[in-house]
Amino acid sequence: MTSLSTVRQQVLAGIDSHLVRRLAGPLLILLAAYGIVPLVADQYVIESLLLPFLSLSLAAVGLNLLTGSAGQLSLGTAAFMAVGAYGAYNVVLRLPWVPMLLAFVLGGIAAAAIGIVFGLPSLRLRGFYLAVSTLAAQFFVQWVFTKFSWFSNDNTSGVITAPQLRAFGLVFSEPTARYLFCLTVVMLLGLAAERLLATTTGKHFIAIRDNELAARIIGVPVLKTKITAFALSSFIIGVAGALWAFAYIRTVEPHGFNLDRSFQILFIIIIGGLGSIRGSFLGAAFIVVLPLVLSRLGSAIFGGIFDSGVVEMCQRMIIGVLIILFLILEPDGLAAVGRRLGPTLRRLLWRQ
Amino acid sequence: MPPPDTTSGSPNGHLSARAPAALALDHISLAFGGVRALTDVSLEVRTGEIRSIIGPNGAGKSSLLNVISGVYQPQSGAVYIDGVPYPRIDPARLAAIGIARTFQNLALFDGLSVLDNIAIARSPRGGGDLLSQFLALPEARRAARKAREEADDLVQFFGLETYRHRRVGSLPYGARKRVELARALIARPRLLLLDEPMAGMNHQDKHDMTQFIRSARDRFSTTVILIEHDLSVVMNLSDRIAVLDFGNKIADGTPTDVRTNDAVIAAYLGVDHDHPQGVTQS
Repeated sequence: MTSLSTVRQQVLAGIDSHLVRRLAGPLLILLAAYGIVPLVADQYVIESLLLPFLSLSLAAVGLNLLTGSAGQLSLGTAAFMAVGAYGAYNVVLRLPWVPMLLAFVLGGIAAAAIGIVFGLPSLRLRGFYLAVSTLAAQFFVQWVFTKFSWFSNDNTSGVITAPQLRAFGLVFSEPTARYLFCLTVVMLLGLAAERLLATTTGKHFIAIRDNELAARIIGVPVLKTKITAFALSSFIIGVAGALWAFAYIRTVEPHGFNLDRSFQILFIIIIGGLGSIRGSFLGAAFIVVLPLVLSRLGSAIFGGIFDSGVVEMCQRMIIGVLIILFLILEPDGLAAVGRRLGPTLRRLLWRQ
Repeated sequence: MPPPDTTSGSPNGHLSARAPAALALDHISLAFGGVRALTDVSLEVRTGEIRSIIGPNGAGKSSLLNVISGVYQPQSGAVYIDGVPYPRIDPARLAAIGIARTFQNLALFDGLSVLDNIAIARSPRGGGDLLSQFLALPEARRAARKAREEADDLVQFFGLETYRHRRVGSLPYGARKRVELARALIARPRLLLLDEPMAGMNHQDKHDMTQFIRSARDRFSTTVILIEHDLSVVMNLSDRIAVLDFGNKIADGTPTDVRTNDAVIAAYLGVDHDHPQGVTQS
């Protein structure tokens, strides 16, 4: 009896500590993100760090599904963001009775449709050649939004000014409110992506990435899975584009979604970790914070000569070197570095 | 008609003289441009037997396996599976037809765990649509659990328990070969094609693999067709052996028949000086 109950206690304690250990990190982060950040972050931090961080993280989560997990290289990310942003904008503009959240979803669906069209070549092409064909999406979409002013409510240069964020009868206009709105959308879609990777379809993504012939021969529906990857990835990227336009910069031009943006998001997932949802966030944080750190450090050391042009140049060089280093030394990116440092850090923290 | 099998037979006794051959190749010819890879090769594989295809390098062994698995389309000839003719085999339909194969240079999913690598091949098109998978609806949950349970059985069968949740990419070579065999078996194939299952293995690994192939055949009552370079393994494991040389079948029979066949000895002596010892030894 006594031994049985002690066993039971031990088992319960084991489950408890296991669950606590697994959930403690995410719960702490959520608590900080919802409870502490809105209190301590000033307008500058939210407007120029947190909002771009959240939008880029979500775009990176989307691209990571496609490139990191399913192994389909894409250079059309910014195009899918643009479709999401302009799509949501047009829904709000032309169908004013549609709730804004639904408009975001419709923007995402529009991006998914474009993603499927430009993903079709993936059935034949792979690697570098596929990347070039997704590049077509990049130039085509940017051209369409510049050329046809219908998409931007007859603005001649294609610029759109997003209306105020509204959902559930609330208006999210203050920076803190927009931050909370963004945070919620990004968190929900991030969790959905994590869940997706645990499903059979998610495993098919990885199987196709790791060995397409073997996947085909054991009966994985390769074509359907690739198209699914393009659709889901582009949907998430499209919503990220809508957030970027509605919650972050609010006045958007097609040029804001150019090839540089596509590369920026590709760099985020390489630095953060290919195939890792957590890596998408780490990479985005790194890319957003790097210029700030550089300019602060630079002007502290070199004073006035370290202007924004120099910062830009240093940033490019550092990111370039990091991409090479990560690809060679740590293909799993910051996520893997974090995983390795995690236990050490925890030990240090507990000792204190 | 070849005489009834009198050598080793199948321990499960599911050989039947009347049933159509598990696999029959009827006058297969395959050429790449001017190069003839296979010339008029006919081959019969009985249900439940372990059938080896040997031959010097470039004899056409891999081409034959690739014809069976639909990777190459022969110019002439037909493939019969359980008596049903297949003019063209689509690799994407291979699992549905009931054929599984392994590859000479391991074709695993390095980013997935051992368990997932095996479970994924159980019924990749079953388990409901994406939404029911995402929401873990009963149908999807049941399919996933079934796949996991069967994969777990195979993990135990192949002694891979310690690696169960490890990523396959980090496993030692011999263990990865076993994972690939397990992945092929979970779909309960009628025909199991093994492309050099012993390649790159040490003596102990080869010994284990021989046992695994034999007991896998017995337990899953599958028919095994294998290509292998190590002749002592082939002689020991096979019920019958076909010998290819320059795309022609030069001999076909039990290990004893093949070992003493003059054409076989000549083919090996003429092309390769390492293997005849294997032929005459065990």
